[in-house]
Amino acid sequence: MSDDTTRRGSLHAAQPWLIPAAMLALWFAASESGAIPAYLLPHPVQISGAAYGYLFGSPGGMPYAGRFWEDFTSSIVRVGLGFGFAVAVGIPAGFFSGRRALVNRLISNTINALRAVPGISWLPLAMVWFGIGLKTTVFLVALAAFFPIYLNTASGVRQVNPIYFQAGAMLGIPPVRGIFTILLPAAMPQIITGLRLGLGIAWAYLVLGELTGVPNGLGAVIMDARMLGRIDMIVVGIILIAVLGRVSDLLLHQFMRFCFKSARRLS
Amino acid sequence: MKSRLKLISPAPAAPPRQRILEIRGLSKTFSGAGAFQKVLDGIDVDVVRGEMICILGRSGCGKTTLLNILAGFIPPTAGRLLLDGRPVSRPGPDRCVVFQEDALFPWLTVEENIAFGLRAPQRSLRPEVERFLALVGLTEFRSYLPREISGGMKQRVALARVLILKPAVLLMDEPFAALDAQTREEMQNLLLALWEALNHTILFVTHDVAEAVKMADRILLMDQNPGRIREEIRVGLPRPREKEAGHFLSLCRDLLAKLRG
Repeated sequence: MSDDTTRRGSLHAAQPWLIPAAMLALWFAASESGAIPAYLLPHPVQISGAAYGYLFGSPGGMPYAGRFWEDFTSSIVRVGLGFGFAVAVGIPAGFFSGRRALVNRLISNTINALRAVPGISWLPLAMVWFGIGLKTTVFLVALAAFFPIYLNTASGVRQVNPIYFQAGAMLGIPPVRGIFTILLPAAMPQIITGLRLGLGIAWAYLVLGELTGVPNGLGAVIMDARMLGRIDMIVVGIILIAVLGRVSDLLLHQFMRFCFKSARRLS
Repeated sequence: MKSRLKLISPAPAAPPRQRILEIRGLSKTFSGAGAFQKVLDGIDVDVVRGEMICILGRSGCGKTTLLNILAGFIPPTAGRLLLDGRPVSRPGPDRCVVFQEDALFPWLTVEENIAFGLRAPQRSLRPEVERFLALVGLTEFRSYLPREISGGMKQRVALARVLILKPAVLLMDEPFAALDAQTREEMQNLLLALWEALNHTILFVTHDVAEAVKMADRILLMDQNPGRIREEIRVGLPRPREKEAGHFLSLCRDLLAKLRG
């Protein structure tokens, strides 16, 4: 029996990697057989070489060599600041919108209209307002991450079973304490969903913000590589953003589970 | 076990027939879609300290509304409500409720749910939580989450988390209606044992005639449309009451006839 469960356990651990492995194998086969020419999609070996140079090469030796840590730092600061603003505004706004009908009537119409505007339409305006660089990117990231955080927080706190408030009131919990001990814990699963969606979209808008003339950042590398015709560096940039996006999602989830009982026990 | 519990928590040194809750001319009218519906009409009740009162009525007679008003969840349209001589208007731990549905906090363990209403720092409440865990027989399940325990156990937690606050009046809204017959009987016996040990005043809403006869000192029989108290029946049967006894059954038959009639 224990043999069986360990086998199933290792199978479960392997399952998330099956699709990436299959994609890699397919890519390898297509490049080896020449089905896809290298100018469209370079060979995986060439990509890993480019990635190695970008991550671990000594700066100045070749274009992009050893630049990763600088780009990474700039990008992570932009994502972190933008996401931070989105959380700081989105959770309170969602909270009041979900609990107070007046607030909801006042702001939900406007927010849902703005939500329909694609991020790229904000880009020219943001550049006029904030110039090229950190501020524009942070603005775009914050704007994009705000909507899923706001919407999920609002719907999460709106759907909390009213009997929990009655129970809290009759147990003598004052309303303000009830927000932190009843309302937010009960809404926690949806708040986490909003944060995860927000962080995911933050990475997408990071690249948009970095497309325009900033000297560093993962998005800047991708745009730069397009100008120079370095398809391999574009692919490296894409893979690195995918990896960082997934890792940050896992870290966010673990952080919430570490901080909040309700995050550990309800999701 | 019973006598030891009494030592820990001596009966309040109050005179035996002291009035604790006074309900005078209580009415409730709901309005909606242009229509008014009188749900409760002129309810008068005096509750004596330590009494177990059952409010018996068919579903829809307004007994849950009455309980919600007593708890302070909704205001009455007219009438007065005095607890220990003072008017009550909002919910509070002096009038605790055990709900029919599961109202435990699903992100808290059994132990944390029981300690939820307590104010003092964690260390000083330990013995209290310990004691109430033992009283409802859940010491071994203290670290379970509500979703991991049965319906009967959930109602034990619901009972413990309010009893620990020592409410002046305990309000119970068909608390055992969703349980199977055997568990319901166990819970009734548990409640009676706790009531005898801790001397609470209990208002117990039910539509189950046998439950009312088993539990109550007094039964208030409610009419519907509008909800009125039609009759008060004093249950003189000695405790513990056997559900198979002749007096028990004949009282049940009488009540059932009145309820239908």
